[in-house]
Order: sequence, then C-alpha cells, then structure tokens
Amino acid sequence: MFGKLSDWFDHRTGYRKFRDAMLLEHIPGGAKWRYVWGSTLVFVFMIQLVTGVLLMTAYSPGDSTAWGSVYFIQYEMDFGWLIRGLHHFGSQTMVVLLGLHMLQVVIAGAHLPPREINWWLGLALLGVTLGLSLTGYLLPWDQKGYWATQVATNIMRDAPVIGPYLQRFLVGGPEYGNHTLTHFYTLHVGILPPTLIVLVIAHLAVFRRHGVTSPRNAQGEDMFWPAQAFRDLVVSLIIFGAMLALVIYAGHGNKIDGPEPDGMYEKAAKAGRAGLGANLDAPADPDTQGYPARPEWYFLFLFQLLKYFPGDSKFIATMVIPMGVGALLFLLPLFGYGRMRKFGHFIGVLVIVALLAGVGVLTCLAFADDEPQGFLNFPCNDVKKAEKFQEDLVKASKEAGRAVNLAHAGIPAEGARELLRKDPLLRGETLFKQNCAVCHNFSVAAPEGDFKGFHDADAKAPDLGGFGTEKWIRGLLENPKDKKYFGSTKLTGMINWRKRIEEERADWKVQDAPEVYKKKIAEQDADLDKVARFIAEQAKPKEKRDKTVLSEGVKSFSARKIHLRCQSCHTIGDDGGSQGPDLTDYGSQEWIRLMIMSPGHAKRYGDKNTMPAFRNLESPGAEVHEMLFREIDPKGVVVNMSDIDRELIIRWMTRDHRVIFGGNTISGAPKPKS
Amino acid sequence: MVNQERRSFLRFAIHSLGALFGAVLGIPAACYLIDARNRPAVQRDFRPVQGVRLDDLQKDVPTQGVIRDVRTDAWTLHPDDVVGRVWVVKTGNDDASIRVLATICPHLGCFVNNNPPGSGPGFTCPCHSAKFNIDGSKNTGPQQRGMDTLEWKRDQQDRNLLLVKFENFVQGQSEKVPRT
Repeated sequence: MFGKLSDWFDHRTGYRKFRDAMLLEHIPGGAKWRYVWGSTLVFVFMIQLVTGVLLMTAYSPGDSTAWGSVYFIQYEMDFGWLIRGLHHFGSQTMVVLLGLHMLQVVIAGAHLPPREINWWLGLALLGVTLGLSLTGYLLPWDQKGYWATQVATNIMRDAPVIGPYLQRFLVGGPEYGNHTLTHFYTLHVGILPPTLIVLVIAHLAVFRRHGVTSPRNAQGEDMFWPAQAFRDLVVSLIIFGAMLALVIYAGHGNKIDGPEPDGMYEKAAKAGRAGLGANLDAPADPDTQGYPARPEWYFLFLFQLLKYFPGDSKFIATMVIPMGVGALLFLLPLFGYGRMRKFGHFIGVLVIVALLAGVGVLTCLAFADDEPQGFLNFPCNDVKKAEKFQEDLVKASKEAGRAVNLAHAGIPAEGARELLRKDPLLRGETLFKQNCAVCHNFSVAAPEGDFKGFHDADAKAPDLGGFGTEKWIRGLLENPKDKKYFGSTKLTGMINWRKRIEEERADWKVQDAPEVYKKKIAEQDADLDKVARFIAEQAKPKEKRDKTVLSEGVKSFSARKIHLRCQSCHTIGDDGGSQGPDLTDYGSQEWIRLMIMSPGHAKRYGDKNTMPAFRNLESPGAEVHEMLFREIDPKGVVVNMSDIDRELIIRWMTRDHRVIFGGNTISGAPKPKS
Repeated sequence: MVNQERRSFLRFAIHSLGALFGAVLGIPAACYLIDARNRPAVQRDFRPVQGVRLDDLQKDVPTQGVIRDVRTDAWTLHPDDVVGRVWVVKTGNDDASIRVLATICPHLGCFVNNNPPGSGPGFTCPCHSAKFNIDGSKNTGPQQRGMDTLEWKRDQQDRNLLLVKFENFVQGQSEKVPRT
C-alpha cells in the first residue's frame, strides 16, 4: 500500500531522484566521525527552527507584553520550559559547533582553493548565527538582555560612516522601546533565518561540487547514505542529549513558590515552576541602578577586549580588531594558491587555533574579573569590584525570582515592569522610608531579608512596626508613654489614662494584702489582654474575625471600670466617645488609609493631630478632594503622595504583598505645550 | 552480502533513532501547541450590572447594562474590566417578564444593536441583518436561534440592583451551549 502510494507520488513529483541526489554522495576514503560537524550544525539549526516557530506562536514583541509572554511560555504553558530551554541552549550549542566546524575545516585544509568560496559562505553563516544570538538575547525583554544589548548596539555606533545610522535604525529611535523589539524580532525570525537557510543551501551546493576534503592517502569509498548519515545522526543525538541535560540541570530558572502541580504529566509539563529551563531575568526597566550587565558568554571576549582600550581608543576594540580578524579570516584561503598551499594550510590552522585560544583566554579573563577568587588559574584583577558585581548579581537574581512569583498571580496590562515597581515588598519599604520614617520608626522582631527595621532615637511619632497587632496594642496599653508609642508625641490621652491606672494600683498596694493586690493586678491585666485581642481583631476582614474574641472583648471595651472605660474616648461600631480615634477596623488597610489621607478627621486624631495629610494633589479630581478636605481640616498640612504610593505603603505596613494594579486610567496624554 | 547487511542495519538504526528523536521533541511540542485546552472559559458568579436600575425599566424599551469583573488574558490580569454587556428588557409588568439578553449575536458573534427609533421594538445585528423580537426571540435572518438569555436575580440588599450570571455561548448553532 505504502509502496504504491510512494510510486504514485514519485511519478507526480520525481522526489526519489531528488532524494537520491541529496543522499547518494560519494565520500572518498569512507565515512568518518570527524566529518559530522557540518551536519550537526544543520541538525541543531533545524531544532532552532522548530522550537523558534513554536515560541513564535506564544511570543508577543512589545514593551509591555514581551516579558509577560516569555514568562507565560516558561511557567504556564505545557512544556514551554523545554521548548524555550532547547532554543536557548541550542543557540549556544550552535556557536560551539561553529568553532569546532571551523577548526575541522582548517585542519582538513578544506578552506583552501578551490573551496575558498565555501569558506567565505561559512564566514557569512558565522556572522548570521552570531546575529541570531544577539537579536534573540533581547527578545525576552528582561534586564539581562536589555542591558547587554544596549552595550552591543552602542558598539555598533563605532562603525565608520554608517554606524550611528545603523544603530538608530536597529534600535528604532533614540531609545530602546517597542520598535527595538519589533526590529530585533523581525531580524530574528524574518530576515536572519531565511538568510541562513539560503546560505546553508549555497554552502551545501558548493560543498557538493568539490566533495569532502579527504586525506591524500585515502582508500576505499562510502556513500553519505547511510554510512555517514548514521554517524552524523549519532553525534547529533548526543548533542541533543547534551542540550536536554543543560535544559534540565543547568538552566538556573527561578522557582515559583507554592504547591507543586498535581500528577506526573503536570509536574513534567510545568517543570519550569521547579526552576528547570532557561533563566528569565526580571523585566527590563530603564530605571535600574547599577545592573550587572554582561553579554552571553560567547561574546564575553569582546567585552573583555574593550577593557584594554579605554576612552577614544575603544574604536580599536570595537572595530579595528574585529574587522582585522574578519579580514584575516576572509583572506585565509588565498594563502593556498600555488606553491603557498602547504604554507597556507599551516597558516590556516595557526590562525584559527590562535583565534580560538585568544577568545578562550579573553573569556576566562572576563570570568576571572567577575569572580573574587578568580577563574581557573586566572586571577581577579579587582576583588572589590568583583565582590560588588556578585552582590549586584544576587540582588538581580532576587528581583528576578520575585518578579516571576508575582507574575504567577497575573501581570498588569501596563507591562511586567510594573510588577516590581508596584510590589509592596520592594517599593513599600523605600516609600515608607522616604515619607514616613522621617517621624516614625518601624521595628521588626527579626530581620526580614535585608530589612532590619527603621530606627531613629529622635523619632517624633509612634513606632509602626507591628502596628495594630495584639502585641503592639498590649504594649501601648501597658506603657503608652514609651517612645515606641506616644512618648515623643503631644498626645496625652492614653498617657493620662495609664497614669490613673498606676495611681489606682498604688492605692491597692497600700490598702490591700499582697495576695489581694497581686490578684487585682492580674485581673486588671487579664482585662487589658482581652481589650488588646479585641482591638487587634479589628484589623482582620469582618468575616474572619473571631466571634468569641469579639463578644468577650466588647464587654471589656465598654466596661465602666477605671482601667477600661475605652468607650468613653473611643468608638468601635456606632457607640463610643470621640476624644480619641475611632477604633472601628483599627489596624486594617481602611483605617490606615483614612489616617494617612486625613489624620485630622474626627474619626482619627481630630484637632489633636500634628501629622500632615498625604494625598494625591496632581491627578484629576484632586482639587475636589482638597476642597472637601479643607472643610474638615482647614489648617491641616497636606503633602503630595500618589494613590499608588499610598497603597504601596499601606500594603507594606500590613504585610500584604500583592502587586498594586492600576484601574481605569484617569489621566490622558500630557497637554501639549503652547 | 555483509556490506548489504551493514547498510540495512544502518538504515534501520537511522530510522529508529530518528523516530526516537521525533518523539522526544515532537510529543512536548504537540502538548505545547494544544496547551490552550488547559485554560477553560471562566465560570462567573452573579455580578452586578452597571447602568440598569430594575424599577426604572420601561415596557418594551431595552436598556443596556455593563458587567465588570476580573479578566485574565493569558499573562495579563485586568482586575476590573468590562467582561460583557447585556440588553435588559421588560415585556410585561412583573419580574417574570424581565429578560436579560446577551448582546452578542448567536449567528456569528457581532454586537447586536437596539432597533433605531421608528423601526419598532426589537434588535438587529449590523453584520448579517439577523433580526430579533423585543423579547430576544428569533425574527428573520440567518441566525439559528434567538438572542441568548442570561440568568438574573435581584440583589438581596439593594432590590433595585440587577445581578446577572454572565456567560458567553457558542455561536452558529441552534442550541444554546455555554463556552467551556
């Protein structure tokens, strides 16, 4: 059946003739393992094509979408980690194989006449492959690709005459952005691969014209099919196995915290969440200080070369040497004419070995400069600089891990960059420091990562570390004049309340027997414990509050004993006094929001308030809020703070680390200048 | 003869290894391509409809309402996006005569308009002129079924507030089947 179908197809297309022409190539001297490198390159390129097309089905080249789509491929799509990982390591494998192939070619003397055109085609293929690597490095639009490619495109500027124009064209404008991505994407998928395919076809056609460069004393003969094809396939599969191993064991992907996917299939399909596959750095952000930018390892030699040519001599490293090497490689076959052939062969081997060795040494030196202990036998030049680099690297890695974990809950439409910019954990601390730590301390029981709290002996306002928790409230009830609470403020209500308790206790000590005195103190403390628990419960969402704590607490809160009488000054719900702040939902985000936006409100500190209000004074509607604010607090000081910054601070304070998402936009494009 | 056997073995080995490689790369690639099956349509609970107050509805006068909810589009999360619109019509005097109709045409998915003044009560799709009666039932045109009705109820606290269980349905067929 298959035979008949095959005959029918051959009759219509003549495919067998074409297939035979492709496969039935004579190999003088027989098939050899050392002839495999060219085929392995084609094999890996085919993998790149297949995985590349698969990635294209999910990738979105845009400033606000690129990182998100790569995140989605890596962590959410079935086997996306594997497809992307193979593509990532495939590009590096191609560079290594190119080196091996070039070495094999010059050792065999296959670059010498009459094969010089094929050598030049090979050089063009080398250039296109490196171009593919460079353009692909940017596409995830992560910090690593963003900063490394900035360096590469700036180097391009040094090219004589056309450099600045070329850079401008490639970047798609004066700065990196949407058009940089669309340009790089077009090059990466629409221009360079077809160019490479055409060059490969030409390379193979010219190769077939002259055949394999077999040793002079070669004996016997084999056909490409199946003898050489078998060898090619075996080595190709070994290389594929190595690529798979790299994807699985050397990907340095960031893990996603949380429950593992269920079942064997899900575990394998979503293995990216366990850290398998290629690394994805934090989303590209031009507003980054001192990102430790390095190119991919196979461009590190150029990066290292730049260090030896500072200032205006940079041109030597960026243009003169690379172009000189290119010209030398181009001229290499010409040394094989006539009597020069033996000499030409030797020169070829010497040049390629020297170049590969040079590249290797420069790469090692580059690694060594970044490692305080050096790399292999190469010492580190500047240990302090290397330590700082490693420190920055750890910071960048942390941010990448954080971004990936935040993205798991969804990415804002404004783009993945906003994940870290609107992350309460990372930004809230900074904003608190800038806006709140001027007056407030923020103590933490134990260091939270790098954060050890804000401590200033001259703080003018309560310490907000643990604000609203049972411990914090109990501490306040115990000693309100402590600097941690109202000791440094002008607020005296709670201090006077405690003073009355202390006076009562002093009376008890005089009047009562020691056991009775102790019992009374213990009862009083137990009441205060209940009050603290009750008020702390207010910070929780209503449906999560403990009903027993509430029912017991409200009795203590409203009791008329001296040490209680909370309700005479404070309100919870509808009942209570107004001398002190309203404690309804105390410690919750809602309570803090009113405190920040209107601390002089009757529900907060009223006319006793000394804290400025923090409000958005810039966006549309701000003037209305300002007007309403003045009605309740005519003399209050108002400091500008965006709504998002405020929410970041509130979430950071309440340890709610969900990203702040923007809602409906409330501003248009800036007004044109008249 | 030995050479022939060697060639046969090599051919067999090439085809076997090739098939193995094809499976190792091809199976994950196929799973990756059909990955969308892992993301079913969101089953939404009752959501408030903006722009409609139930007691303000007039007989045979369609009112358009908006439903907002969290919307996830692959990697992007829209925390408060318009997930759909509905036409709300009242054809009698009681709640039983209130119908909430999806604005998406059951023919091929265009947005169905309210008939312009002077054309009588009802709805018309601007794409292929599918016409519907005021209660959403099929009138004339290429559509296989009437406009899709949605489940609704009054809010417990605010009795004037309309709550709708918003769904999208498969177009181009006579049965009303929710998208899954």
